[in-house]
Amino acid sequence: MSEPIIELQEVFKTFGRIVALNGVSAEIIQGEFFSLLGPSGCGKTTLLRAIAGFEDPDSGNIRIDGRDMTGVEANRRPTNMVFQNYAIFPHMTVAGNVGFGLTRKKLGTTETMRLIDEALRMVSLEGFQERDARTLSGGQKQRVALARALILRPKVLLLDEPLSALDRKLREQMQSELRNLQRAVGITFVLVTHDQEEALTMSDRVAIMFDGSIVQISTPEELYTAPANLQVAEFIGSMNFLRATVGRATSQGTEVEVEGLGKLIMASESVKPHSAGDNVSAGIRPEMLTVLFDEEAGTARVAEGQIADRSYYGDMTYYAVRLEGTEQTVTVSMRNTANRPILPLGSRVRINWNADSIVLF
Amino acid sequence: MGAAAIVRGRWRFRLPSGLVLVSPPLLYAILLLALPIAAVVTISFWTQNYLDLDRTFTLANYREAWSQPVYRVLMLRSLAVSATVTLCTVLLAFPIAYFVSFHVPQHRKSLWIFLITIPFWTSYLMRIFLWKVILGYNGVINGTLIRLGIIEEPLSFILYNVNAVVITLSHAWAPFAILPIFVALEKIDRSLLEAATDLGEGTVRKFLRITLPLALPGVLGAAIIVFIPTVGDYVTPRLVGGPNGLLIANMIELQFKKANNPPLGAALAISSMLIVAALSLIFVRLNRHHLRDRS
Repeated sequence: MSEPIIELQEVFKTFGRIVALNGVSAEIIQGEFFSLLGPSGCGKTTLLRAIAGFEDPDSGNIRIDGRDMTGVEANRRPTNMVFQNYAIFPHMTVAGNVGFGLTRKKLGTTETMRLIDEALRMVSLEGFQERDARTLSGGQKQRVALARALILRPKVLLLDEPLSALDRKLREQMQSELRNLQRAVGITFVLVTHDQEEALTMSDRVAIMFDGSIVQISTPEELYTAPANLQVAEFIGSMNFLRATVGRATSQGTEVEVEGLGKLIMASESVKPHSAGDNVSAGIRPEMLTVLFDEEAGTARVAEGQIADRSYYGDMTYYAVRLEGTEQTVTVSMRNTANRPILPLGSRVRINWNADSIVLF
Repeated sequence: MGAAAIVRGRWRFRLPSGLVLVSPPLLYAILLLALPIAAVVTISFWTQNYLDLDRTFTLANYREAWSQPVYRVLMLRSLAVSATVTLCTVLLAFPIAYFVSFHVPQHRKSLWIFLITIPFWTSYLMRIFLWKVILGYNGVINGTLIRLGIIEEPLSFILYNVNAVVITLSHAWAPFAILPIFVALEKIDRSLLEAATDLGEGTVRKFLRITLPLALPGVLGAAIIVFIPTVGDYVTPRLVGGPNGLLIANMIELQFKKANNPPLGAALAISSMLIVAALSLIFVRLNRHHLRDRS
């Protein structure tokens, strides 16, 4: 079940003096939706192209379905790719594009037509067979590119920022369609994206890359709630960072003194590898902080502060709260549910928080 | 009143500016292109009476141009030579354009294109004479081949015949064919080729299914650019064509000058122009059709 379909071992790739891949190792599991997430220039596209066979690694090893891919040309690999600009052949019809890879298989005309019809149905483009590829919209081109790749039943489908050229509405729609399509066909998808939302919503697992290295591979939830380091925490979502000092370990856990929030006890496990006396950063997500309105009683922990700034987003309000006893402000996000007032600047507020949602770096 | 003047002033400044801008080239085109063609068309319907022109309308010149075997032979030979030159030029130009577009590093491409145009730095006549030196009885090719012991007698089929005309013209027009093909190849999105590879195609089939069809407009452009002017060339056949390498343009020149029959020359010129135009149109149509139907 959890057989790796792609194994990457210490893959290095340089372009002149630029190190694009700095010893990347990872395993991608059969049938999963795997995302490579990272800022532009982190090497994620190079890694995808190395898997596809368009870049030769300087050293290291790429295995697909147990086979070493060293020296295997791109056209002989069991992968197919959806290109960033879709690379739709402009001199062909939709059917010509979708059936492009089938001609080598020498199937009969009826069988070819049937497969093309089936592939187009899969991406909801029934009846588009004879359309001129140049007349397609961005979203349609994307579907054709998908059908063209999936019709060959690859072991792995590689997607290079496939949604970045679409407008927001269409992008959101395609996100769920891609996800459903992947579940339906059961083919391993490897998606390259710089859009964290895209990676989080679509993937089974996400690899986050910085400067040619994979920093963390985990499920979206883990990536968000337990980022491996400060860089990941800063890249994924937004996070408040407060100065903190590690205290002594007790039987209940380790004491941590967080500026503005006070002393708290954290599970010793989550304090590792820091030790007593270390100055650390305590990270907490804005949605893990709650403004307490008068009637609500503080359950766990309460900090006092004053609203220094406010951004209203319709469904959400973001408050910048200056905590008592520190110069630091924290961002608190509040969903604007019924009857919840939007607090004016300068209001004194009580902030509720929970030790479980604090991550130390 | 003041306001009207301003409005009028603005109009006076704006309205003619388009015409003013276009008028020098327009004038140039009328004076040097439309008028001469109109003159040639007009003359082709007149008759030459030794020293003066009979200006009564007649189709006699066209009748002669289309019925005399000599003109038909020359016209057909011209078309055959042009077609051969076009084929040779495009076949020679394509690999060069392909090499520059696909194998020369980006920052060197303009240098390569610049180098390709170097032959144009010398006059056309000079280049024809150079080919005479190369192809001649005691020329570079024969000299080398004899010295290498490959042949004993100088080759006679390479100068003063149609072959020499084809060789010289193919070389002369090569840059005109290279450039449009190069531009068409440059315009091909390289990710299309990667996509073709990704979908399983090797080098040759990738070329046949993607590169060539997408470069076809450039190839077609190159073919027309070479074909149309070579039909009318008369310098090259005169200098390297020998007696059997003369083309229709030489006959037109002959009629205008030595034979003192400009009306017949004009009729021949217009006839050849119409034939070339018709052939070019058919060519363009066929290719467009072919391009559209490909899938």
